[in-house]
Amino acid sequence: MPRNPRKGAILIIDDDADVRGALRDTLEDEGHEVAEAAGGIAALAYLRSHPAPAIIFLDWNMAPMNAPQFMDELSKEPGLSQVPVVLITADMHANQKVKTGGYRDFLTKPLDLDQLFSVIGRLAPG
Amino acid sequence: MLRQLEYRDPELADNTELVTEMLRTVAKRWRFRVQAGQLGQHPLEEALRFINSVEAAIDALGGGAGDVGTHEVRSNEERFHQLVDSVIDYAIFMLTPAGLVASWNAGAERIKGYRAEEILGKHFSIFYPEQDARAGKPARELEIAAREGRYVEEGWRVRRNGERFWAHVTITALRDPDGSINGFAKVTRDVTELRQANEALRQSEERMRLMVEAVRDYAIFRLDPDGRIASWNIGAERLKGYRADEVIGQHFSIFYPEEDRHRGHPEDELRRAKEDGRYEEEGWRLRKDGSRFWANVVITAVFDQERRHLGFTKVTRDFTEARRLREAQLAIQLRDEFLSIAGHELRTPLSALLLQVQGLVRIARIEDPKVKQRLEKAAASGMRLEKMIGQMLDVSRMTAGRLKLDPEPVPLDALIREVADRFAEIAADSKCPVTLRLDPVSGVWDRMRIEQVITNLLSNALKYGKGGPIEIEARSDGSHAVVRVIDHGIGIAAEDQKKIFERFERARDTREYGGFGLGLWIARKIVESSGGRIAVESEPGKGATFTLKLPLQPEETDAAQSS
Repeated sequence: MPRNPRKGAILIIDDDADVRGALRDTLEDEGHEVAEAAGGIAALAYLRSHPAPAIIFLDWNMAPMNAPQFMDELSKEPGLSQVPVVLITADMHANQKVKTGGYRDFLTKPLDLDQLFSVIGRLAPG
Repeated sequence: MLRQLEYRDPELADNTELVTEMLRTVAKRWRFRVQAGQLGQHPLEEALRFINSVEAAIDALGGGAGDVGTHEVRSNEERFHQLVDSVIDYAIFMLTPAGLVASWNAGAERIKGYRAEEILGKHFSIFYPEQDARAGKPARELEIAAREGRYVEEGWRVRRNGERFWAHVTITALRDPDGSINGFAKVTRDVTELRQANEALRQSEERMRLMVEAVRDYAIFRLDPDGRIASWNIGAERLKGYRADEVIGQHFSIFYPEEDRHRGHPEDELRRAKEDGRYEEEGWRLRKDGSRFWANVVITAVFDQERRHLGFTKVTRDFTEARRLREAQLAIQLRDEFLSIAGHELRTPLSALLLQVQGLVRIARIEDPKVKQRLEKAAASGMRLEKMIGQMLDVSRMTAGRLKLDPEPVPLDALIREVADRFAEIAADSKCPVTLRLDPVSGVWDRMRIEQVITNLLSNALKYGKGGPIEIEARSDGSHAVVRVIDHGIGIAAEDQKKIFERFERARDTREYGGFGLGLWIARKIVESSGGRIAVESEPGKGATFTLKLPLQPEETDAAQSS
């Protein structure tokens, strides 16, 4: 599978290393540049010191900074508020969270690859 | 003919003593009436009567200070007459030797209801209940008074209006200097109220005692201040196994296990009950046969009005069952919490595993078909595991009452079509052609949960459909959406048709068809939580029809909107 270095960079924020790794492998196979963060604080540090990614995948359930808290912090960062954030959650009723939480979309666990790539295609075309 | 008060009764002649007693009676009676709120409709008049009584008594004692100068030689006898005449709390009157009424005071008029002019000269048996009068009781009383000097009793008497009252009666024989009887003095008090009060108190105490004795589910008993058992009810006998005669007088520490006795716990309980008024605890206690039970114990210290410590009451209940129930509930709660945590924890690595496998399937597609096939099987196993974890979490949510529904407008026919599309590949594999007959039906439901139910029904139909055709119908009957999922497979025996909606039940054995047997239970819970019903009709060997009825509008919301 040839890599396509022109595809946008993706930041994965999840506190489970296996999940991050699997997502990274899958996305890299598709030619994306991938960065990982084990939590909201590390993610903010990464974002402040790197060019803005094309998409952020954000796990709902994390400590000490959960998804809504991360969104709060992100909104205060100049230049980052336009980065689309996709929520990853086990909650089948995530609609509500997405409507009020500032997320661009959501994916439910277990992740379905077709849905994953369709979200990426919509939010970060090319 | 009528002589008035020509007697010297040694008892009555001592004015001070009599007046003291009368004043005491007057005070007692009025305290009783005030406390009982029995001042009638004219409390002011009642109060005046009370004041008159007291003044009469004071006069009789020679207390009329202002009169001393003018009437310095007022004899004791005169004062006595005045006293007797005006006293209203006592009927004081005289009888001739034959029992005819010879004098009458204000008290007699008040208590018995006769005025002096209508009663003087009448026989005193008129004051007795007819039965007593006929039986010769009045005459017998005079005989006794004549023989012994005095006759005292309490008994029923009759007022002029026929009403009975409970009387305290003293009859004193009056003698001439030569010793012959010249009459009787009769003093009668109306003690009906006192008797009623005493009787009410006695009855209430008796009822209380009988009630306590009869209580079977509580051990209720008294302890003296040192902790020795002073009373014992049937509940105590049942609970602890001792009879009253073998336990009364023993120290209550016999009910405590050795280690509690050793550390002085029984005494400690009494000390705390005495200090705080009450002590409550739960703990192990012993029966007579040595067996233990888990007891709820309340010890209350008992004091009299002067705060003297009289002892304790102890109420003991057998909480062994309640304790077991609490422990069982706790165990269930822990299990549900464990299932919930375990489910979430298992899901995370599984999610990573599935992602890896699915990713490999995706890139293997172009390369080795055999690798791709095996990876797809691995992914399918992973999905099954994921589904089972999902069911486990659903069950723990539903049993804990934490199933949350998120109703929104749902086009049911489109939803069913989506589900059928997802199963197209599996349907083709199982060689069950799926036919959809869908009217456009929309309602307000939790989309995800209804999708879960339809998925469950279709996947069951495919699993047990034995390659026969499957039909899914949807229509509206005006108030409900009606969905039928029909297969022509193995069917369900009549005795299993109810069971399949229960937890961990399936009609077929586990080895042949895998899974927890939770799918239909979860489906039923979702449907019922949405206000609908799910049912099955089946004939073994011919297939099964599952019917789903869902209200188009949530019922509460409907009512709220129409009002």
